[in-house]
Amino acid sequence: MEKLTLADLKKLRDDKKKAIAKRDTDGKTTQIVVGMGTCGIAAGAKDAFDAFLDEIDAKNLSDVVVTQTGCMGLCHAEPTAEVIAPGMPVVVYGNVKADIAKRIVNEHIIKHELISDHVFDKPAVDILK
Amino acid sequence: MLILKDLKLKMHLTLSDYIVDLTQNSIEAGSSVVIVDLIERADDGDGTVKVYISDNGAGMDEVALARVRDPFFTGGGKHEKRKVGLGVAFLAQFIAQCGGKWDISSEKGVGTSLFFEYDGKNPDAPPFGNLASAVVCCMGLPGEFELKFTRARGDESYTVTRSEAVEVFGDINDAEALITLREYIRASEKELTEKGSR
Repeated sequence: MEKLTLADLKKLRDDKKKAIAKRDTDGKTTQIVVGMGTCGIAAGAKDAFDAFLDEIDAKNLSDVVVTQTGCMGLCHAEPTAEVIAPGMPVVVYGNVKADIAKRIVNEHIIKHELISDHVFDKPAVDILK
Repeated sequence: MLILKDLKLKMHLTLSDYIVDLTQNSIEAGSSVVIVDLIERADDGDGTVKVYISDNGAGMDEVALARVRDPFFTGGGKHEKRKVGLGVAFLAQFIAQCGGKWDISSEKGVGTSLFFEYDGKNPDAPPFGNLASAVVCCMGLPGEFELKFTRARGDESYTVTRSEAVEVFGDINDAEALITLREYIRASEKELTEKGSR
């Protein structure tokens, strides 16, 4: 099989761009940080990561950045995701299964509503600098 | 029958999970180059799965290396008060469970190489899991580093490098870039499993 080439990737991206009608996000970037430590992975962080991408794709959101971090000290509440969205407080969500990831995109990022029963306000004290 | 979705085990479930965890170890060790090879011998019918992960990170001295299997040992300075490191301990457990073998070698200041193999047909072997999202996860980990992922099955193979993806997308963590990259790896994987099996 042919190796991954720049041209392949570029073409994929261009095709994708044509298919996407950009949604207005005030030109501001939303950041989702998924906890991807051993604890997160064991609890299904990769499913959450996948669900975030699926839902961002399905809702044609632009200006969303998805990054990862190690253990945030909330191992009991993994998978966790920190969401930094314009016009919303910075929130760490816990127990983010795929369905909750979907809700975060739809409710937190699009409708600006918190998903209250999954909110952890900040990383554990011994992790904070 | 094992129903995966009903399992509440807090251990890695799939091969993809192990790959993300162990690759992350390499990146957190400050590596500038990480090489991940996943080789499946589908051609000879024994279904052997081999994984090699090597990096040029901080490496470990003999004392640290001897303790790497210990779940109450961590080399990470991230959590000063925590004495838990489960990544390699999980790997050792999964390899023991399905009768495979693994090894790790390391030199302080030079880097670490990790290898494991198992019979993919063993009933206790983990499923592959979502490989495309695992590779995208690894690519999107924070930091400046090169990651070369090669996947082979039988005579077929494909390679994805982070530098190439960065060159095309600029910011690899842009959701659009991650989605496109995932799509690309899915397509490559699909082609590989169709062509590489006979």
